[in-house]
Amino acid sequence: MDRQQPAPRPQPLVRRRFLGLVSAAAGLVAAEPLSRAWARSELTRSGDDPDALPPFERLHLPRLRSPAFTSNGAKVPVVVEMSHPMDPSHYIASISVMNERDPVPLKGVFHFTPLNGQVYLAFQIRMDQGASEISATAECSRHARWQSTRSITIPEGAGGCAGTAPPPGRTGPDEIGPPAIRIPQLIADGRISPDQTIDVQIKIKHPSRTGLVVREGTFVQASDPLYLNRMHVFYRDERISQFTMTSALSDNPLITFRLRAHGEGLLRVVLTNNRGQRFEATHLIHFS
Amino acid sequence: MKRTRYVRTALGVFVGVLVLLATSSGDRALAHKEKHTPDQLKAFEDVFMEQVKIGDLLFHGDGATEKRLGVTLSKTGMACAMCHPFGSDNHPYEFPKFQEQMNKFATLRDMINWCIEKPNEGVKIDPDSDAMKALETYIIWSNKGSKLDPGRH
Repeated sequence: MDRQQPAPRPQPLVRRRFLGLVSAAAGLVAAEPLSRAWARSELTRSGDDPDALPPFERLHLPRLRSPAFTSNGAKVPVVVEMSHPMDPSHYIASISVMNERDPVPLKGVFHFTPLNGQVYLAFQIRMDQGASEISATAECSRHARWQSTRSITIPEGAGGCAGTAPPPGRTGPDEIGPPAIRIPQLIADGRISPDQTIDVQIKIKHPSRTGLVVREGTFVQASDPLYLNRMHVFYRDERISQFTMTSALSDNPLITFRLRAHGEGLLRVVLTNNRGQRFEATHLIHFS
Repeated sequence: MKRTRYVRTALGVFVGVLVLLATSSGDRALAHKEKHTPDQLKAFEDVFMEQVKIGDLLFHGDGATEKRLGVTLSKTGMACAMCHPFGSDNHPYEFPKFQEQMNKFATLRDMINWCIEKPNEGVKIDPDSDAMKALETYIIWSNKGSKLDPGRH
C-alpha cells in the first residue's frame, strides 16, 4: 500500500522532550518574529492575492499556482514559487505539496539549499475527482512553516489516482527512458552568465502508477505501485537539492527547479524509482 | 528518294531531341549542385534550427514565446512536454491517419490542435500560423531518422 500518511508518528513525551518543549515555547514567546511566524503557520492562507499581504507574510507564504479546474486529474500542473532570500543564515529548507482528500495525499517533499538561489518548483501530480484544497507548506530556516492553499476541481470521471503499474521490462508506451536536463535560458538566449539564476528542467520518460483501483466507490490497492521516489541534484560536487516523490506523481513528469549558476561545473541529477532502478543525467554549466 | 528524305529528317529530329534532353538534364543537375553553396546550406540550417528552437520553447510551455506569437497553448499550466518528453510518443511519421479521438482523418497539425484544446485546455491555433509551423518542426526534428509510416496505428 502506497498511502503516504501526512501525520507524523506520535512520540512518547519523555522528561527530556518535555523540558525541550518548555524551553522552545519560552524562546518563542520571547522572540516576537518567531512567535508571529508560529501563529501564522497555523493559518491556512489562500495564495490568490499574495501582493495584498504584508511584506513579512508575502516573503514566507509560498505562491501556489494550479488550475482552478482541469479535466485531467492524471496530470495536474503545480507551481510553487517564493521570493524568500536563500542566504546560508536564512533560507527556505523545504516545500511540501499535499492534497488531504486524495488516496495518496502527499505529492512530494522538496528540500532546497541556499545554492538553489531561489525557490521555484514545477511538477505534475495525480488528483482524485471532486473539489480539493491543495496545499504547499514552506519551511523557513528561521521562521518555521508557512502554508498556502488553492482550490481545484476535477470533474466526475476525470480523477487520476487509479492506475496499474506496467510489469518490469515492458517496452512500448510505458517503457522507461533515461532522463535529460534542459535549461530553457540556454535554448532561448544561447548562453548562461555567472551568477544567473537558471531554470533546470528534468525530463524523463517514466510511468508513475499508484496501483490503486476503484471498487464500489473506494480506492483499493490492487497491485504494486511504480513511481520515481527520489531525485538528488548535485552541482560542482555539492548536493544542492533532494526531492522525495510519491506515486501521486504523473507519468513522464517534467520537473523544474531553480539554480544559481555560481560557477562553471557539472550539474548532475540522480533519480531512483521504488523498484530500485537508478537513472542519471548530467549537463556541463559553462559561461559564454 | 522522297521516303529517304523523310527518314533522314525524322532521324535528325530524334538525335536533336536526345542531345537537347541530355544537355538540359545535365545543366539542371549542375545548376542544382551550384545553387547550394556552403553558406547557403548554413543559412537554410539556421532557418530550420531557429524554428526548432521556437518549437522547443512552445513545446515546453515558455510563456514569453507564446505571448510573442499571440497564442495560448494552455490555460492550466500544462505543456506538450508534460506528456511527451523529448517529443516522444507523438509519432509524427504516422500522419496523416484516421485518428480515433477526433473520429476523423487527421494531419499532424490537426493532432497538435486537438492536444492544445483537450489535454492542454488551451486555444486552438491557426494551422498555418508561425506557432504551428514551429511546433510541427520541433516534433518532426525530435523524431528525426524515423521511417515514414503514414496511416499506421
